Amino acid sequence: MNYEIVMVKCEGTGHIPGSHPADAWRIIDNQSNRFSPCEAYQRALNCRATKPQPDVQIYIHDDVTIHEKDWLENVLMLFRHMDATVVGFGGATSLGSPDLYKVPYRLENMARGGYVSNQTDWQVHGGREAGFRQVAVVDAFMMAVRTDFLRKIGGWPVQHLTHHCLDLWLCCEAARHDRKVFLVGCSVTHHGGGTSVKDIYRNAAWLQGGTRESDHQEPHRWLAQEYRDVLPLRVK
Amino acid sequence: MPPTPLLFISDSPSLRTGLGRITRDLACLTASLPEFRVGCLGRGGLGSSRLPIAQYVVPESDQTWCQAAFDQCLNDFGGRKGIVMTIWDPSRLYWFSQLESVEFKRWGYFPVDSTGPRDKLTGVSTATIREYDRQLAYTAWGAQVIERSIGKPVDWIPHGYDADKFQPRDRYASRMTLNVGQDDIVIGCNMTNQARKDWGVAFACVSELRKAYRSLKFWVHVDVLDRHWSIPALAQDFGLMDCIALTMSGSKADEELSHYYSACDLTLLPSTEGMGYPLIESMACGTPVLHGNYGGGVEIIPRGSWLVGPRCFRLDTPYNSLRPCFEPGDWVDAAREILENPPEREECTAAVEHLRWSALWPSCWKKWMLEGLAS
Repeated sequence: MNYEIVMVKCEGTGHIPGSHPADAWRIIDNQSNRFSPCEAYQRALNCRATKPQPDVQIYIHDDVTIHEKDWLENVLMLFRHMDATVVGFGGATSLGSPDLYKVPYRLENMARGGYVSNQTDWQVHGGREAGFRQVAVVDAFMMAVRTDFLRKIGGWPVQHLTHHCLDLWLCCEAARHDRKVFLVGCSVTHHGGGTSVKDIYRNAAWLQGGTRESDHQEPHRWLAQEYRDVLPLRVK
Repeated sequence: MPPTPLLFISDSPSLRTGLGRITRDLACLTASLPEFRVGCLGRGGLGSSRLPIAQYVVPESDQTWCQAAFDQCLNDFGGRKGIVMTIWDPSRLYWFSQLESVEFKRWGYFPVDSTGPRDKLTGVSTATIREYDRQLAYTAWGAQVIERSIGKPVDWIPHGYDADKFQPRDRYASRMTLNVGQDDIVIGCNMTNQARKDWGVAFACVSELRKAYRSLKFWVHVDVLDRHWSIPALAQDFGLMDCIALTMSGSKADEELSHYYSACDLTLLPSTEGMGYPLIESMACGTPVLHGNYGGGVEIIPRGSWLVGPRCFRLDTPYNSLRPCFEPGDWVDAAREILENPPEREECTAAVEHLRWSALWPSCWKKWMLEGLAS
């Protein structure tokens, strides 16, 4: 199974262990914050000129440090043997309140529920999972996705999203197409607090007309409106 | 897979009652799914060739709540191994719950408009609901009442409204339509003439308000003038004969109704409701509504100050329905507060936006219908 590690390079200082051939990397230099993360992902998907399409693209934030050498095998195993379409290092068993559409829209009704991971600070985020399990949504700091699926759904939603909710969008699409989403409990540190809280983010060209708050709220509202056929998501 | 027969039992979908409209909308929307073949056994009305469903009608004089016609209807519809879904108060459906050796599934959408002693439904209603394969309430409050009664979890889904019909209309034109002045204070009340709809409180409230607002007009929308209440007697006794704009339900199209709502500064609904179309319609037209702080309708009122608390409760009907008793003065105070500080129309419409069928059907109802086939 071919794979490609996609990293949008900003100012993160993460580390990914293992020996990966040069053509397994797709680095998008975005240190000037010229592209929105969504646009950068789409560029990674479009860059196919020099090599064949990988079976799986692994989108990792540049502020992620992976502590397990065999992380890649564990991820690819879920694609090979569990019919996974999306795999992450952190995931939640639900997205959206059961009453999401029964009451007027509220942002808090679009919250994730039952988040688990094997992040080094997993207690801060939710529960711990060192194995693997099916989930409703994964967290964006690592998303592995079948490339043919990504192409089938038209690529990343650059017309609608910039930064937030790319993970939720991907998993809503997976649900809409009756595909499976998994998390694998890899020991990992997501340092966080990088680019998105700095001035370079606030001043980004792709954010103009919006604010950090609206860039958080509006994507959730859009998702709630667009994916009412599958939301709320829930796996047991 | 051939489509599954689904027969609704309720008010006839050709009637303009709230239940008739819910049944019409749900039946027509479900008929759009290839997984179902939809029919309706309805009480009252004539049926309509404009609806894409098989219709069986029993006269309103039928006192058996469709029991007498059920077997023949089911045979003709070919629904013995399908689903029968009722949209009625459970007190009307004990006969249905007790049918033996049936092969069809019983689904029920229950408009619970009151609780009872020990905060539960009365025994016969509880026994009826227990026999259903799937129970569904209109509101979270209704679901809780049923859960306490039958001792197991119950889901709820609100019913929707047609946003093409009910929307804010031009105020000037609406007031011309209702034949009231542009500077009048206009208060509306849309209720059937039933015991649980407190027309007495409505008239008492408006009578008191008129002392403060001399140019007040009262839009009264009712099905019959004399039944449980005498509307003419109330108008006369409260001295409101000269300020009433009367319209009769059944004679007005939804779009026309939306103009009447839009002409109002405020509507009143001193009633106990499973949910209450007049609440939804008023807000969909941008007009605030004052409602009793009791029952499931409370859930769609956006401000606590638009709810009037009961002073006490009483038991009503042979089904031990707990009804709230209101003090008209409390309605007057709350109404004046709204009239003095009117909300933006957008606040009202936002409160019911999620109930548009175009939103509610794909997000809630379609899923519920199809999940029922899977189970």
